[in-house]
Amino acid sequence: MRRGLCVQFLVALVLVAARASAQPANSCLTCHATQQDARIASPAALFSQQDVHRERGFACADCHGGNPAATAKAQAHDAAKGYKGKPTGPQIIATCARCHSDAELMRRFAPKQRVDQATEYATSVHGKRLASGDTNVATCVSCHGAHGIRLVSDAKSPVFPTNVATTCANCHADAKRMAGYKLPDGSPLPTHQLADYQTSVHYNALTKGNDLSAPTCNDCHGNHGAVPPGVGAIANVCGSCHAVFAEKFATSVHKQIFDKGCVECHSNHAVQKPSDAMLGVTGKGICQPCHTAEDKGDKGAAAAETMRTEFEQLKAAIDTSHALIARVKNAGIEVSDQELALREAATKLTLAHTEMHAFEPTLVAPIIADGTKIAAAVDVAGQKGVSELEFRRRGLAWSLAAIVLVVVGLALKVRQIDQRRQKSDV
Amino acid sequence: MTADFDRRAFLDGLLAVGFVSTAAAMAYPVARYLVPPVSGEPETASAVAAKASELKPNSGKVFKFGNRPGIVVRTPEGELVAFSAVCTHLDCTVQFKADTSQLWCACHNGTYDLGGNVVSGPPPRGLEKFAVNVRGEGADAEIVVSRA
Repeated sequence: MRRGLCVQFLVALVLVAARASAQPANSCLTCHATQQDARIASPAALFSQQDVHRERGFACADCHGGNPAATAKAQAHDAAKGYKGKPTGPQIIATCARCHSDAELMRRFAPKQRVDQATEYATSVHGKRLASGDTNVATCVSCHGAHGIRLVSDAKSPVFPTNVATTCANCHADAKRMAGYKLPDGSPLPTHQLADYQTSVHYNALTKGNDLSAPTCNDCHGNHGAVPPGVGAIANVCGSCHAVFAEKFATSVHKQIFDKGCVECHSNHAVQKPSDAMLGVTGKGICQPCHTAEDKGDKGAAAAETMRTEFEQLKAAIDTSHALIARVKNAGIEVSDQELALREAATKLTLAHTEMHAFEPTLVAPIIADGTKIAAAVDVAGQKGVSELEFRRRGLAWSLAAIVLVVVGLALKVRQIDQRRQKSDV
Repeated sequence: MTADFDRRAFLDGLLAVGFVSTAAAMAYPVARYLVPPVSGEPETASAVAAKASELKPNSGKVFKFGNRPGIVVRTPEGELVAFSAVCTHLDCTVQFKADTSQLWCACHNGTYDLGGNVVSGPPPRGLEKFAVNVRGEGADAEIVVSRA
């Protein structure tokens, strides 16, 4: 029995040793990990920890070339063995594309992954500038990292949706790095995009609403083919999510006038939650200064004010009905039908807000009328509920009064009996 | 004499306490009725969505599920599925579109498949799915929808 166990142990040892000897030698990690200079040691340390390429069997030499079997630096860094050191600029794109543009190879590791990143990159502002000799621009490693690369789906990846804006801002919020770069219109490239974006409804949905489908930089600009959306393409970009708005806007008179489409009213990076106050030529209305309240013949101003007034009236009607229904409900009266109806009225208000993007009041008015009609019907039901409540309260008051009367009457009667008894005793 | 007086005072006190307690026991529910506490939303567990015979294949019906709308659909294959009809984007009521066999929100063009998953548009997540059971048989059979 004991001899059998010993044999099994020896066989296991031999198998482990054979497996270890089958692993390809990697002197890169052994040597770099012991270096004092962090610039040389840290890539090896990062690659040894969590790295998607190492986990799939790739080694340093697959990107850097050289001979990982050699222990001496000269042989390990032998150019004849393909050693190219640290790739820079276009070399980075070529190094990554060697595998990532190879559909056959990628199918073995990530069959669903696209293989056109390098082609897209060549069409991007980054790619075009790199091709023209500007090595200051972003390449693959600027966003994905070079060592310790994680899957895009990994929440710690710099290109995970919640991290994209900060990753882009590493360069784009750096005024020194962005100095000299210009927008297509010739103005200096701004560096406040991240600060603006962090005030936006999109950022809020992404980071606080746990909505990973909410847009971040690459959803509008593209990722590998990153460019600012051109004039005329903005409505298409926004319309990829906000399809109905884009459809309505395409039918509006503003389509021909607004060079920047949606951005003209909603801004680009600092998109705020829209409000009725935005519509109009007074107060916070954004239709000014193109339209003015002073110009009584301005049809656009009149249309904006009409639609805003209608929105506000329907919203006020819904709020009033809501308060009424809540009061009646809290008193124990069944109002679920009215609550359901109010949801329908709120749906009408949302539909009217959507329709408004055609900037045609005659299309908005019927929807508002429908919503107002629903709210009015709910009000009638609410008032009936209030009447019922008052009736019940009156009933309670009468019952209580009757009970008190009986109690007082009984007390007086008892007293009278006592008095009679005392008199008869005397 | 003193003992008699003490006993009487004690009984009067006891009577007074009993009277006050009885009055309070009557007044409290009256006061609570007149000024009710804010009540929480009771969650509807199930509802009859429709008669089974109402729904032909590839059709849907919005029904009342408590104070919220639900939607029950008979798929083109004849299976019954039900969801909350409240769009996860901005709470509009979704409807069934027979031409695409999808659930559609008219407010912002959000679409969901018949598994409740987002197909396109701005909804951030799928619709809440309900369990569907058919109660009874024949023309009177009812589609009962419950929280899964």
